[in-house]
Amino acid sequence: MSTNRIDQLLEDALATGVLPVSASPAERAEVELLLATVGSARVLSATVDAESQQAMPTARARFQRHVASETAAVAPATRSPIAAGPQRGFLGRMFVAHRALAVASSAAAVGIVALVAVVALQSLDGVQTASAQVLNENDYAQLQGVITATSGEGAARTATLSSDFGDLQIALGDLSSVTNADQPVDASTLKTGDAVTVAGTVAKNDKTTTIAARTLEVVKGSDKPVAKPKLTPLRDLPPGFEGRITALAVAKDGKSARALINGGSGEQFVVIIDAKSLGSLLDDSGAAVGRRVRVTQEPGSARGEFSLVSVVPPGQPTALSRPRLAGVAGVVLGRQGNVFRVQTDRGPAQVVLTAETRIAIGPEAGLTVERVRGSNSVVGHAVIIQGGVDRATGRLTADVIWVGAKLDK
Amino acid sequence: MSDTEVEIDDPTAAGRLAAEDLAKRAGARDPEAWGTLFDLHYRGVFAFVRFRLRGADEAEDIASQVFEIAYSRADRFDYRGVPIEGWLIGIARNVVRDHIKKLGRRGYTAELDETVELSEPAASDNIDLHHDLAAAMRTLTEDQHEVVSHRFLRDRSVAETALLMNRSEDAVKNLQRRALAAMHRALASVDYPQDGRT
Repeated sequence: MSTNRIDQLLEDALATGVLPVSASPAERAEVELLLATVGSARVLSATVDAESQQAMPTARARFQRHVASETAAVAPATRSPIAAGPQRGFLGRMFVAHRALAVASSAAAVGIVALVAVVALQSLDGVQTASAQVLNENDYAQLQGVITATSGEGAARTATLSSDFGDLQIALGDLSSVTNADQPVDASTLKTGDAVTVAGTVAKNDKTTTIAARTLEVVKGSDKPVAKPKLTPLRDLPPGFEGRITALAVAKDGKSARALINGGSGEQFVVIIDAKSLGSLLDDSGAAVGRRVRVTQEPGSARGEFSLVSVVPPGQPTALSRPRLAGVAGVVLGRQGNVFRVQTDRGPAQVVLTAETRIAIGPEAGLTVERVRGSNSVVGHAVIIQGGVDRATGRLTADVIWVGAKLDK
Repeated sequence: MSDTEVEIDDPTAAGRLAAEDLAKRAGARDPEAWGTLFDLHYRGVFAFVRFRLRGADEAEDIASQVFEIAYSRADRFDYRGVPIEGWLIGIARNVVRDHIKKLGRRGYTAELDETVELSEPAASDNIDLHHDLAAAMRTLTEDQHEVVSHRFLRDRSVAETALLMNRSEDAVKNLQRRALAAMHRALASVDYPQDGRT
């Protein structure tokens, strides 16, 4: 058992989430100890997130003051012509207008949407055809796009989103949470050109697909409209197929889920995903949208149903963070009526199940949707929940809950 | 298959051009570029320094100093494929070293070793765990600490970590294993294979 061998086994396990089958029992034992420590180290990552987020406004203001004082000390003649441009206020130059770098600085979050902008809008028929492959009435959906129009005020605020499915309507209500750089912002600040990731419930009529937004995260992105990609249902798996998720939908009954995956060639694949993969996509480290995955087919799985394996482990996003949505992962400690008490690694959370909550049962749960809804059987089970935070109560209203195995006490 | 997207850290030609453009503008002290850099890297610098210091307030102060020093020295940054993040981390490394030296001269070393202040957002049940973890981080050598910070607090890949530390990927993997083993010993206080490999 050489150190190089352990180094590589550890790295393989970190990259894929599983220990290579070639590992001997002794190697497996050693690497599992190290992996447990990795899990512990990542607990600190949440602490760093919270602390740095808290520190950032003060630190930013301090840095602004520093830049302002240094700038004032520099004679105009020495200023680089690169810095020249339209006259804007200092704050505007400093932290608001990042257009020149927007594509580069946000591509991990916006993905292909920000860069394939060639064709403006597609026909209504095209919208219906494309969205029907992934988005159905009452689905829970995560998707991305660029705002092309806004209207209304307050709880009646709406936006038109240019997306991979063509134009969609985004409805923003009292329960919608709008954030920008992880900070809550008013829906009225949304503007044309904002690139966003949206999570919410799909509503359809003959002419329009609307997402009732539960959470909407503004990401730095392009103000260009997106192209209409070709959507192809994935039936036969090409060897080594990988891509980036651009949309995720979970059916109302929680029994089926679909992902739209950009393979990188301009073509997007509609992939029906298994229950286990759904759990890994819904984890609380960020949106499924933007995540890079490898598509596999497990032995014995239904034809046309695939597994998705994150190319980097959950909680370890690519260079730039994926958009964060409101969600928790943990263990159900108890329930009172429709309110679950969930222990997470960030502390206890209260989660409200509603009649609309989609309940997805993982392969190791040994439960039914009915038992999750109506009994205490779910207590002790691992759960992953996405939804929206009720600002009045601080509770998380679940849009979708994934139930995993019962954990040992 | 490859995506067509462009990231600052993207190793493709387009990614390099974007990063180079940002670095050039930062070198010219373009406030807009520095706003972008601050937003992109503040969390990373904070994470890098956090567990070598006593608490979040100190980390906030040191991370802020890093950006102030970087901005003041912007014209000295030479963009030749070196990520600007690596330059910021290099500054952070030196600022932390100086800070610890100053504390040592003032007789605060013991306090630094023993004090772990966490502005813990989680439940009280987790506070002990977080304190133990932070204390375990403090048992690591500087290189080990840096690897854990890059890999698990900042979500960097082995290749990115190797670039930031100017080490080979094999060296990073080796440091990573030794760091985790050391943390495991500190956390669990149980036997870990003691055959000289750690």
